[in-house]
Amino acid sequence: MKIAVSAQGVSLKDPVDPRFGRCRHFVVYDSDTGSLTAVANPSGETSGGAGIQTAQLLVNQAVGAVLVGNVGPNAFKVLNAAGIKVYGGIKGNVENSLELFKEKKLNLMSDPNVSSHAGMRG
Amino acid sequence: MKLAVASGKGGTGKTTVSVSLAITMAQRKRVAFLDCDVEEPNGHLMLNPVLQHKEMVAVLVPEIDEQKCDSCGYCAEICAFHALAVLPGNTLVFPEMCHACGGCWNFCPKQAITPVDNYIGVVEEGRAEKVRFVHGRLNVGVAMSPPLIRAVKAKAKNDELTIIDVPPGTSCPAVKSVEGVDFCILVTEPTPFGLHDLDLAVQVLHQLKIPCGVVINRSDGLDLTVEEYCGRCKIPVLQKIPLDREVAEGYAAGIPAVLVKKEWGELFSELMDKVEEVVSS
Repeated sequence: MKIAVSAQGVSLKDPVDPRFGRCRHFVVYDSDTGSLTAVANPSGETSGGAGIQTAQLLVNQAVGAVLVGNVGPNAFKVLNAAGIKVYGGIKGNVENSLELFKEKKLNLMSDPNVSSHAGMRG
Repeated sequence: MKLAVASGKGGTGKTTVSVSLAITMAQRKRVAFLDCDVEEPNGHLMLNPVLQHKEMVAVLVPEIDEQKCDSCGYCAEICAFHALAVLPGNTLVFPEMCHACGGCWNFCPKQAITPVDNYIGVVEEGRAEKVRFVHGRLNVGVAMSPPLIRAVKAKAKNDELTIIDVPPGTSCPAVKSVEGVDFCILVTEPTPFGLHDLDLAVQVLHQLKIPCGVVINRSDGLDLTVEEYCGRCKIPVLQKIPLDREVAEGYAAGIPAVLVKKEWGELFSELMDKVEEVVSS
Protein backbone atom coordinates (compact mmCIF):
# COMPACT_ATOMS: atom_id res chain seq x y z
CA MET A 1 0.00 0.00 0.00
CA LYS A 2 1.13 3.54 -0.80
CA ILE A 3 1.17 5.88 2.20
CA ALA A 4 1.37 9.63 1.50
CA VAL A 5 2.62 12.16 4.08
CA SER A 6 1.86 15.88 3.69
CA ALA A 7 5.29 17.51 3.81
CA GLN A 8 7.17 20.74 3.34
CA GLY A 9 9.93 19.00 1.37
CA VAL A 10 10.69 15.84 -0.60
CA SER A 11 12.72 13.68 1.80
CA LEU A 12 12.25 11.71 5.02
CA LYS A 13 14.06 14.41 7.01
CA ASP A 14 11.82 17.25 5.81
CA PRO A 15 9.25 18.61 8.23
CA VAL A 16 5.62 17.62 7.78
CA ASP A 17 3.09 20.22 6.62
CA PRO A 18 0.02 20.37 8.87
CA ARG A 19 -2.09 21.59 5.94
CA PHE A 20 -3.54 19.08 3.50
CA GLY A 21 -4.84 21.00 0.49
CA ARG A 22 -2.02 23.50 0.41
CA CYS A 23 0.96 21.37 1.42
CA ARG A 24 3.96 21.67 -0.88
CA HIS A 25 4.66 17.96 -1.40
CA PHE A 26 3.60 14.48 -0.50
CA VAL A 27 6.30 12.01 0.37
CA VAL A 28 4.90 8.64 -0.69
CA TYR A 29 6.14 5.43 0.95
CA ASP A 30 5.23 2.11 -0.61
CA SER A 31 4.99 -0.46 2.19
CA ASP A 32 5.08 -3.38 -0.30
CA THR A 33 8.32 -2.41 -2.01
CA GLY A 34 9.86 -0.08 0.58
CA SER A 35 10.33 2.57 -2.12
CA LEU A 36 10.07 6.28 -1.44
CA THR A 37 8.92 8.93 -3.94
CA ALA A 38 7.87 12.58 -3.72
CA VAL A 39 4.87 14.11 -5.46
CA ALA A 40 4.65 17.90 -5.82
CA ASN A 41 1.26 19.39 -4.95
CA PRO A 42 0.44 22.21 -7.36
CA SER A 43 -2.64 23.35 -5.37
CA GLY A 44 -0.80 25.68 -2.99
CA GLU A 45 -1.58 28.81 -4.96
CA THR A 46 -5.02 27.86 -6.27
CA SER A 47 -7.77 30.31 -5.31
CA GLY A 48 -10.30 27.72 -4.22
CA GLY A 49 -10.92 24.02 -4.14
CA ALA A 50 -7.37 23.16 -3.10
CA GLY A 51 -8.54 20.31 -0.89
CA ILE A 52 -10.60 18.72 -3.66
CA GLN A 53 -7.78 19.04 -6.17
CA THR A 54 -5.22 17.66 -3.74
CA ALA A 55 -7.44 14.72 -2.86
CA GLN A 56 -7.85 14.07 -6.60
CA LEU A 57 -4.05 14.03 -6.91
CA LEU A 58 -3.83 11.29 -4.28
CA VAL A 59 -6.65 9.31 -5.96
CA ASN A 60 -4.70 9.49 -9.24
CA GLN A 61 -1.58 8.27 -7.40
CA ALA A 62 -3.54 5.23 -6.14
CA VAL A 63 -2.63 6.03 -2.56
CA GLY A 64 -4.18 3.81 0.14
CA ALA A 65 -3.61 6.05 3.17
CA VAL A 66 -2.60 9.63 3.86
CA LEU A 67 -1.02 11.01 7.02
CA VAL A 68 -2.00 14.61 7.75
CA GLY A 69 -2.16 17.33 10.35
CA ASN A 70 -5.44 18.91 9.33
CA VAL A 71 -8.00 18.06 6.68
CA GLY A 72 -11.13 19.99 5.69
CA PRO A 73 -14.63 18.83 4.73
CA ASN A 74 -14.38 18.75 0.90
CA ALA A 75 -11.02 17.00 0.85
CA PHE A 76 -12.26 14.50 3.43
CA LYS A 77 -15.34 13.76 1.34
CA VAL A 78 -13.23 12.89 -1.71
CA LEU A 79 -10.69 10.83 0.27
CA ASN A 80 -13.48 8.99 2.05
CA ALA A 81 -15.37 8.25 -1.18
CA ALA A 82 -12.17 6.97 -2.75
CA GLY A 83 -11.53 4.69 0.23
CA ILE A 84 -8.28 6.44 1.15
CA LYS A 85 -7.74 6.17 4.90
CA VAL A 86 -6.89 9.43 6.63
CA TYR A 87 -4.65 9.44 9.69
CA GLY A 88 -4.31 12.65 11.71
CA GLY A 89 -1.96 14.14 14.26
CA ILE A 90 1.40 14.03 12.49
CA LYS A 91 4.31 16.03 13.92
CA GLY A 92 8.01 16.55 13.34
CA ASN A 93 9.43 15.19 10.09
CA VAL A 94 8.21 12.66 7.54
CA GLU A 95 10.27 9.83 9.03
CA ASN A 96 8.82 10.35 12.55
CA SER A 97 5.32 10.33 11.08
CA LEU A 98 5.85 7.09 9.19
CA GLU A 99 7.26 5.53 12.38
CA LEU A 100 4.17 6.60 14.33
CA PHE A 101 2.00 5.13 11.58
CA LYS A 102 3.84 1.80 11.66
CA GLU A 103 3.51 1.72 15.46
CA LYS A 104 -0.26 2.39 14.99
CA LYS A 105 -0.01 5.55 17.08
CA LEU A 106 -1.86 7.81 14.64
CA ASN A 107 -5.63 8.33 14.78
CA LEU A 108 -7.75 7.01 11.94
CA MET A 109 -10.01 9.99 11.24
CA SER A 110 -13.73 9.56 10.67
CA ASP A 111 -14.46 13.29 10.18
CA PRO A 112 -12.66 16.40 8.94
CA ASN A 113 -10.96 18.28 11.80
CA VAL A 114 -10.88 21.82 10.36
CA SER A 115 -13.30 23.99 8.39
CA SER A 116 -12.96 25.03 4.75
CA HIS A 117 -10.11 27.44 3.96
CA ALA A 118 -8.25 26.69 7.23
CA GLY A 119 -4.98 26.36 5.29
CA MET A 120 -5.24 29.65 3.40
CA ARG A 121 -2.27 31.95 3.88
CA GLY A 122 -2.97 35.45 5.21
CA MET B 1 -30.43 56.78 -13.98
CA LYS B 2 -28.84 53.91 -12.07
CA LEU B 3 -27.23 55.01 -8.85
CA ALA B 4 -25.25 52.73 -6.52
CA VAL B 5 -24.68 53.42 -2.83
CA ALA B 6 -21.50 51.67 -1.69
CA SER B 7 -18.87 52.11 0.99
CA GLY B 8 -16.02 49.66 1.23
CA LYS B 9 -16.30 49.52 5.02
CA GLY B 10 -19.48 48.04 6.47
CA GLY B 11 -21.68 50.03 8.83
CA THR B 12 -20.90 53.49 7.47
CA GLY B 13 -24.49 54.26 6.50
CA LYS B 14 -25.21 52.81 3.04
CA THR B 15 -28.72 51.82 4.01
CA THR B 16 -29.36 55.09 5.87
CA VAL B 17 -28.41 57.03 2.74
CA SER B 18 -30.00 54.78 0.11
CA VAL B 19 -33.32 54.42 1.96
CA SER B 20 -33.65 58.11 2.79
CA LEU B 21 -32.66 59.08 -0.74
CA ALA B 22 -35.27 56.69 -2.18
CA ILE B 23 -38.04 58.05 0.06
CA THR B 24 -37.09 61.66 -0.70
CA MET B 25 -36.82 61.21 -4.47
CA ALA B 26 -40.04 59.16 -4.68
CA GLN B 27 -41.93 62.39 -3.90
CA ARG B 28 -40.71 63.74 -7.25
CA LYS B 29 -40.22 60.81 -9.61
CA ARG B 30 -40.48 57.07 -10.10
CA VAL B 31 -37.96 55.35 -7.85
CA ALA B 32 -36.88 51.71 -7.51
CA PHE B 33 -34.86 50.54 -4.52
CA LEU B 34 -32.76 47.43 -5.20
CA ASP B 35 -31.15 45.83 -2.17
CA CYS B 36 -28.18 43.92 -3.62
CA ASP B 37 -26.78 42.99 -0.21
CA VAL B 38 -28.30 39.54 -0.70
CA GLU B 39 -26.22 37.95 2.06
CA GLU B 40 -27.76 40.18 4.69
CA PRO B 41 -30.46 42.39 3.17
CA ASN B 42 -31.79 45.05 5.51
CA GLY B 43 -33.51 47.64 3.28
CA HIS B 44 -36.86 45.94 3.94
CA LEU B 45 -36.48 46.55 7.68
CA MET B 46 -36.44 50.29 7.02
CA LEU B 47 -38.88 50.50 4.09
CA ASN B 48 -41.39 47.84 5.21
CA PRO B 49 -42.45 46.91 1.68
CA VAL B 50 -45.49 44.80 0.87
CA LEU B 51 -43.90 41.93 -1.08
CA GLN B 52 -46.17 40.75 -3.87
CA HIS B 53 -43.94 38.65 -6.07
CA LYS B 54 -41.30 36.05 -5.33
CA GLU B 55 -39.14 34.02 -7.67
CA MET B 56 -36.58 31.34 -7.02
CA VAL B 57 -33.14 31.84 -8.58
CA ALA B 58 -31.00 28.93 -9.70
CA VAL B 59 -27.55 28.45 -11.12
CA LEU B 60 -26.59 25.51 -13.33
CA VAL B 61 -24.47 22.74 -11.87
CA PRO B 62 -23.33 19.46 -13.43
CA GLU B 63 -25.18 16.19 -12.91
CA ILE B 64 -23.37 12.98 -13.76
CA ASP B 65 -25.00 10.06 -15.53
CA GLU B 66 -23.16 7.17 -13.85
CA GLN B 67 -24.27 4.82 -16.64
CA LYS B 68 -22.42 6.84 -19.27
CA CYS B 69 -19.47 8.02 -17.14
CA ASP B 70 -16.31 5.95 -17.60
CA SER B 71 -14.32 7.88 -14.94
CA CYS B 72 -11.90 9.25 -17.53
CA GLY B 73 -11.27 12.27 -15.31
CA TYR B 74 -11.41 14.87 -18.07
CA CYS B 75 -14.09 16.99 -16.35
CA ALA B 76 -12.06 17.31 -13.13
CA GLU B 77 -8.96 18.09 -15.16
CA ILE B 78 -10.53 21.03 -17.04
CA CYS B 79 -12.61 22.40 -14.13
CA ALA B 80 -10.93 25.67 -13.14
CA PHE B 81 -12.87 25.76 -9.86
CA HIS B 82 -12.17 22.19 -8.65
CA ALA B 83 -15.87 21.45 -8.45
CA LEU B 84 -15.45 17.84 -9.58
CA ALA B 85 -13.46 14.88 -8.31
CA VAL B 86 -13.31 11.68 -10.34
CA LEU B 87 -12.79 8.43 -8.49
CA PRO B 88 -12.81 4.99 -10.04
CA GLY B 89 -16.51 4.37 -10.69
CA ASN B 90 -17.71 7.47 -8.88
CA THR B 91 -17.64 11.16 -9.80
CA LEU B 92 -18.25 13.68 -7.01
CA VAL B 93 -19.78 17.11 -7.67
CA PHE B 94 -19.23 20.05 -5.31
CA PRO B 95 -22.03 22.43 -6.37
CA GLU B 96 -20.80 25.23 -4.06
CA MET B 97 -17.50 25.38 -5.98
CA CYS B 98 -19.14 25.44 -9.45
CA HIS B 99 -19.20 28.71 -11.42
CA ALA B 100 -21.48 27.27 -14.14
CA CYS B 101 -18.87 27.80 -16.87
CA GLY B 102 -20.25 24.79 -18.75
CA GLY B 103 -16.85 23.26 -19.47
CA CYS B 104 -17.74 19.83 -18.12
CA TRP B 105 -21.15 19.43 -19.72
CA ASN B 106 -19.96 20.74 -23.07
CA PHE B 107 -16.74 18.76 -23.29
CA CYS B 108 -17.42 15.43 -21.51
CA PRO B 109 -16.13 12.85 -24.04
CA LYS B 110 -18.99 10.48 -23.10
CA GLN B 111 -21.67 13.20 -22.90
CA ALA B 112 -22.38 11.93 -19.41
CA ILE B 113 -22.91 15.36 -17.85
CA THR B 114 -26.03 17.53 -18.01
CA PRO B 115 -26.61 20.90 -16.37
CA VAL B 116 -29.32 20.99 -13.70
CA ASP B 117 -30.74 23.81 -11.58
CA ASN B 118 -29.25 24.46 -8.15
CA TYR B 119 -31.42 26.93 -6.24
CA ILE B 120 -29.40 29.57 -4.42
CA GLY B 121 -31.98 32.09 -3.25
CA VAL B 122 -35.04 34.21 -4.04
CA VAL B 123 -35.78 37.61 -5.51
CA GLU B 124 -38.75 39.38 -3.88
CA GLU B 125 -40.55 42.40 -5.28
CA GLY B 126 -43.14 44.73 -3.90
CA ARG B 127 -43.91 48.31 -3.02
CA ALA B 128 -43.02 50.50 -0.07
CA GLU B 129 -45.53 53.32 -0.58
CA LYS B 130 -44.17 55.25 -3.57
CA VAL B 131 -40.94 53.24 -3.84
CA ARG B 132 -40.80 50.10 -5.98
CA PHE B 133 -38.84 47.60 -3.88
CA VAL B 134 -36.70 44.61 -4.93
CA HIS B 135 -34.31 42.54 -2.89
CA GLY B 136 -32.57 39.17 -3.00
CA ARG B 137 -32.18 36.67 -0.20
CA LEU B 138 -29.36 34.16 -0.53
CA ASN B 139 -30.02 30.72 0.93
CA VAL B 140 -28.13 29.97 4.14
CA GLY B 141 -24.87 28.16 3.38
CA VAL B 142 -24.57 29.40 -0.21
CA ALA B 143 -21.23 31.14 -0.72
CA MET B 144 -21.64 32.57 -4.20
CA SER B 145 -23.92 35.61 -4.37
CA PRO B 146 -23.20 37.27 -7.79
CA PRO B 147 -25.78 35.21 -9.77
CA LEU B 148 -28.50 36.30 -7.32
CA ILE B 149 -27.28 39.92 -7.42
CA ARG B 150 -27.54 39.73 -11.23
CA ALA B 151 -31.16 38.54 -10.88
CA VAL B 152 -32.00 41.45 -8.54
CA LYS B 153 -30.42 43.95 -10.96
CA ALA B 154 -32.36 42.46 -13.88
CA LYS B 155 -35.48 43.95 -12.22
CA ALA B 156 -34.28 47.51 -12.88
CA LYS B 157 -36.31 49.56 -15.38
CA ASN B 158 -34.96 52.32 -17.57
CA ASP B 159 -37.69 54.88 -16.81
CA GLU B 160 -36.99 54.95 -13.08
CA LEU B 161 -34.34 56.32 -10.78
CA THR B 162 -32.78 53.05 -9.62
CA ILE B 163 -31.05 53.18 -6.24
CA ILE B 164 -28.87 50.16 -5.51
CA ASP B 165 -27.86 49.33 -1.95
CA VAL B 166 -24.46 47.65 -2.45
CA PRO B 167 -23.00 45.05 -0.09
CA PRO B 168 -19.93 46.16 1.89
CA GLY B 169 -16.42 45.25 0.80
CA THR B 170 -14.70 45.39 -2.56
CA SER B 171 -14.92 41.77 -3.70
CA CYS B 172 -17.17 40.07 -6.28
CA PRO B 173 -20.56 40.91 -4.66
CA ALA B 174 -19.73 44.62 -4.48
CA VAL B 175 -18.26 44.67 -8.00
CA LYS B 176 -21.27 42.84 -9.44
CA SER B 177 -23.62 45.32 -7.70
CA VAL B 178 -21.95 48.48 -9.04
CA GLU B 179 -21.32 47.15 -12.57
CA GLY B 180 -23.13 49.22 -15.18
CA VAL B 181 -24.35 52.05 -12.90
CA ASP B 182 -24.13 55.68 -14.00
CA PHE B 183 -22.78 56.90 -10.68
CA CYS B 184 -21.72 55.56 -7.30
CA ILE B 185 -22.22 57.36 -3.99
CA LEU B 186 -19.56 56.25 -1.51
CA VAL B 187 -20.68 56.59 2.09
CA THR B 188 -17.84 56.96 4.55
CA GLU B 189 -17.31 57.94 8.15
CA PRO B 190 -14.56 60.22 9.45
CA THR B 191 -12.47 57.43 11.00
CA PRO B 192 -9.17 55.85 9.93
CA PHE B 193 -11.00 52.59 9.12
CA GLY B 194 -13.59 54.47 7.07
CA LEU B 195 -10.90 56.24 5.07
CA HIS B 196 -8.84 53.10 4.54
CA ASP B 197 -11.77 51.17 3.06
CA LEU B 198 -13.03 54.22 1.15
CA ASP B 199 -9.72 54.24 -0.66
CA LEU B 200 -10.12 50.55 -1.59
CA ALA B 201 -13.61 51.25 -2.96
CA VAL B 202 -12.36 54.27 -4.92
CA GLN B 203 -9.63 52.14 -6.51
CA VAL B 204 -12.20 49.54 -7.59
CA LEU B 205 -14.51 52.20 -9.06
CA HIS B 206 -11.63 53.80 -10.94
CA GLN B 207 -10.78 50.45 -12.50
CA LEU B 208 -14.43 49.97 -13.47
CA LYS B 209 -14.49 53.58 -14.79
CA ILE B 210 -17.56 54.44 -12.69
CA PRO B 211 -17.76 58.08 -11.57
CA CYS B 212 -18.18 58.52 -7.83
CA GLY B 213 -18.63 61.05 -5.05
CA VAL B 214 -18.44 60.85 -1.28
CA VAL B 215 -21.02 61.32 1.46
CA ILE B 216 -19.50 61.78 4.90
CA ASN B 217 -21.84 60.22 7.43
CA ARG B 218 -21.68 60.89 11.18
CA SER B 219 -19.75 64.01 10.27
CA ASP B 220 -18.07 65.86 13.13
CA GLY B 221 -18.12 69.00 11.02
CA LEU B 222 -14.38 68.89 10.36
CA ASP B 223 -13.59 65.61 8.58
CA LEU B 224 -10.22 66.97 7.52
CA THR B 225 -8.58 63.67 6.61
CA VAL B 226 -11.50 62.59 4.39
CA GLU B 227 -11.71 66.00 2.72
CA GLU B 228 -7.99 66.05 2.14
CA TYR B 229 -8.17 62.56 0.61
CA CYS B 230 -11.07 63.53 -1.68
CA GLY B 231 -9.22 66.69 -2.75
CA ARG B 232 -6.13 64.69 -3.57
CA CYS B 233 -8.13 62.11 -5.59
CA LYS B 234 -10.35 64.78 -7.18
CA ILE B 235 -13.53 63.17 -5.88
CA PRO B 236 -16.38 65.52 -4.95
CA VAL B 237 -17.69 65.54 -1.38
CA LEU B 238 -21.41 65.49 -2.16
CA GLN B 239 -22.92 65.84 1.29
CA LYS B 240 -22.22 65.65 5.01
CA ILE B 241 -24.67 64.00 7.36
CA PRO B 242 -24.27 65.04 10.98
CA LEU B 243 -23.96 62.59 13.86
CA ASP B 244 -27.41 62.65 15.45
CA ARG B 245 -28.63 60.59 18.39
CA GLU B 246 -32.30 60.74 17.38
CA VAL B 247 -31.45 59.40 13.91
CA ALA B 248 -29.39 56.59 15.42
CA GLU B 249 -32.28 55.65 17.74
CA GLY B 250 -34.64 55.75 14.76
CA TYR B 251 -32.35 53.45 12.79
CA ALA B 252 -32.32 50.95 15.65
CA ALA B 253 -36.14 51.02 15.62
CA GLY B 254 -36.28 50.60 11.82
CA ILE B 255 -37.27 54.21 11.05
CA PRO B 256 -35.48 55.86 8.11
CA ALA B 257 -33.48 59.02 8.94
CA VAL B 258 -35.64 61.16 6.69
CA LEU B 259 -38.77 60.10 8.57
CA VAL B 260 -37.17 60.75 11.96
CA LYS B 261 -36.15 64.24 10.85
CA LYS B 262 -38.43 65.58 8.13
CA GLU B 263 -36.07 68.54 7.62
CA TRP B 264 -33.37 66.12 6.41
CA GLY B 265 -35.39 65.75 3.16
CA GLU B 266 -33.55 68.88 2.03
CA LEU B 267 -30.20 67.24 2.77
CA PHE B 268 -31.02 64.26 0.50
CA SER B 269 -32.56 66.46 -2.24
CA GLU B 270 -29.34 68.45 -2.29
CA LEU B 271 -27.35 65.21 -2.50
CA MET B 272 -29.35 64.12 -5.55
CA ASP B 273 -28.94 67.54 -7.16
CA LYS B 274 -25.18 67.29 -6.74
CA VAL B 275 -25.12 63.76 -8.18
CA GLU B 276 -27.06 64.95 -11.23
CA GLU B 277 -24.73 67.91 -11.58
CA VAL B 278 -21.65 65.66 -11.56
CA VAL B 279 -23.19 63.07 -13.91
CA SER B 280 -24.24 65.70 -16.47
CA SER B 281 -20.92 67.57 -16.38
